Amino acid sequence: MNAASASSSTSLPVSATRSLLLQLAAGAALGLVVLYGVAFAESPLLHNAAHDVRHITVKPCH
Amino acid sequence: MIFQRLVWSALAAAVLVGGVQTGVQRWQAAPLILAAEVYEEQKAEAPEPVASLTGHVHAEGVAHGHEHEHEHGSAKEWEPENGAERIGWTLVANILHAFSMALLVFAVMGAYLYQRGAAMGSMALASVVAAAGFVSFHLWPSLGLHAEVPGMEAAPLHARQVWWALAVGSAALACGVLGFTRSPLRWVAAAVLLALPFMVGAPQLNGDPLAGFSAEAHAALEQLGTQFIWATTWVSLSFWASMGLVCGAAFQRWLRPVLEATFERSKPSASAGTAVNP
Repeated sequence: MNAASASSSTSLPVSATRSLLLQLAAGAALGLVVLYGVAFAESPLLHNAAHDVRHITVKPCH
Repeated sequence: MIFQRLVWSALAAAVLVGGVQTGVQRWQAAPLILAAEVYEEQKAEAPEPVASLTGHVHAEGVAHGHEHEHEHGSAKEWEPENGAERIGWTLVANILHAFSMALLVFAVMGAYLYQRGAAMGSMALASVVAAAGFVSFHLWPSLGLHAEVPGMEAAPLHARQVWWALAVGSAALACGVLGFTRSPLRWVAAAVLLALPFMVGAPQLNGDPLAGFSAEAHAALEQLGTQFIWATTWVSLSFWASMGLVCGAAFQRWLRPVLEATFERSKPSASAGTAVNP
């Protein structure tokens, strides 16, 4: 491995890692949005559809 | 893009866990909800106490009762019919709930892999994260706001939701501090975080949560309520146990190889760095 290829391959993995971590964070954020929809959204339709799951997973419900 | 992989893996895990959960709930918890709803409907259909005091408005009272049908949501709103339709929507909600939790579990597992390296196997790591999930998402909020069957009155919804988020957030942060930092102070920080929601205090109802029920219904609902607290605990334990198993396997198969390959290349300063030096 020569010095030129080493320097170009160290900057790439760093940005690739940053991108991976951001995507993991984006996944977690999507998880929180879906959780809100299932367990907390006030819409009566969502509430009634997920009613039993809200009770059983001990989310505050009505 | 690992994001797509993340979403598909979470969805695969969620279909499995959500499907099994719907079965476990039918057996453990749903019968208690259905039994409580019988009393809830009796109360909603009963004549107003004022009307029964006057004693001569029987026909009016019955007609009147229908206007009060459901205390949660208005009577006109759609709700699934008991049976297949209701179970179907419960299955959908269970899958989405498991999907949201799987995404969080994968994010924490990925962050751990990044920070601590590959020392821990996927199954062991998933088990620890699932245990933290049980403490954060079930045990800690339930200590302040216990599970309730339909028909029970409680403090205002919004206040309870805010406290629930505080309890879950504090417990999750405490688990994160314990798992991700090595300072000796982390135990103190975790203890403070775990105590925080209880220093704030969960919103509680002043008075009887079962006020307005007949003595017989009151006693029956009290018993159903206690059974429900235990049932939801078993259901949640089974949920997190299956999440640990399924998410561990999915992470090992679909996510770990990609994550590890990138993380290892980005931390070469120790190994590759020495190799680069002439």
